[in-house]
Amino acid sequence: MSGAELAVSLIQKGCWAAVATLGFSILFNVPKYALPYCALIGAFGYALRAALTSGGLGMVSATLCAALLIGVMATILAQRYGVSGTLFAVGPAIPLVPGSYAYKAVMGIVMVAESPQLERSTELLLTAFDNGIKAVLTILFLSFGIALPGLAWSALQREN
Amino acid sequence: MPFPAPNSPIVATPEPASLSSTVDLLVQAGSLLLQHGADASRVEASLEQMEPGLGIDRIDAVVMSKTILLTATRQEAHHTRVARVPIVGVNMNILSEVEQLLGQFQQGRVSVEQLALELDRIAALPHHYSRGVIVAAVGFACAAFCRLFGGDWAALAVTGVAAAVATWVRMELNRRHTNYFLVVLITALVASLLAGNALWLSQTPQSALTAAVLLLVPGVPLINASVDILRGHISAGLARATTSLVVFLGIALGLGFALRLFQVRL
Repeated sequence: MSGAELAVSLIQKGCWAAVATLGFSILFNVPKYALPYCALIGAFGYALRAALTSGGLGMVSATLCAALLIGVMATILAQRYGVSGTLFAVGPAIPLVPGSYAYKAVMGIVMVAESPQLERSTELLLTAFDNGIKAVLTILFLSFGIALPGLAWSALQREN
Repeated sequence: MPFPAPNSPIVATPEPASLSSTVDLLVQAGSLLLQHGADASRVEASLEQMEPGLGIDRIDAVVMSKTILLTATRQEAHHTRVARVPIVGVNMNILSEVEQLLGQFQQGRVSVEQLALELDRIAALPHHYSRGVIVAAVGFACAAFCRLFGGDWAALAVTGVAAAVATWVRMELNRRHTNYFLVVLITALVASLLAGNALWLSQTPQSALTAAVLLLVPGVPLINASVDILRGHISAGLARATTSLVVFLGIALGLGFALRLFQVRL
């Protein structure tokens, strides 16, 4: 893919991620004034992860970077509006939750239980384990990355 | 106060507020946070920072996934309450209103009486968005996921309708206080059976089937679980993580049934 094509696809992905973020922010009853920010943060977060994974970075590290970006942007906005950063971070985090990995992991385990042969089970278990590790670590790093900028900011403020 | 000292003078200093009513106030604030999607560490921190404003020497709060244990200590007296907290669902508006209120109270801009009134007001706040708007918003969100998974326009439309209907079904079931696992199972079944229409309408039916059930992915509980575990609230975190795992199992079973029915492999 050329640079221009990559840019176009990233912008497209960002826009769709913004729609997904908006939908979930509305479900979570985020106040109206925060919705445009949520959409923007969601678009940047998802596009950053897509850019990093297409650049060869693994899912887990790419998600950590995207989560840190979300955390930083949410912390800045939270300071400005005097609210908790979670308000701006929850919606944008949802498109980054590795739902398909987690689903494949659970489904794999269910299929192992149903499988009649050992060889097939081994293969299924390996796939389930691979997906499960990716899902768990991605979620862990996602929440860690989102929480870290806020924690660091409050620690800095206590220093001063 | 539970144990008035027998030898104490009858009128010493005006009591700021009785210990039990203070504990009730704290439990009310903590419950509002916990039941609308705050993580345990955040609830504990919010409660414990109320000490000076309430004229209390020490607040010990233990927050678990559906329970708050709280002891307030003033000099020799202490009062404890155990409160079961029904989980309502994520509501960021209530969370931020309560946090702002507690912040104002800490700065001394809100009195104890006002605090109680404000908590009642916040608890009664209506949802910002009507049910129709929420149903449509989740439909659009899942349609966007379908597009992100490489679905074509037909798959996108099918996903949107399936997810919107499923959201409505989930809201109705939750309103009737159905068991959470049954809610997930039925919603996943409805979403995937409707998304199965993509098989004859679209070239990319897999994307529709995968995206339509994403409205059930327990994003907030999962993030809360890892935040709690990372901050050392292991039992609360593990409870949420287990719940999330069971939700994924419900999604997998509902979707798996539909996949068998349509004979599709993802």
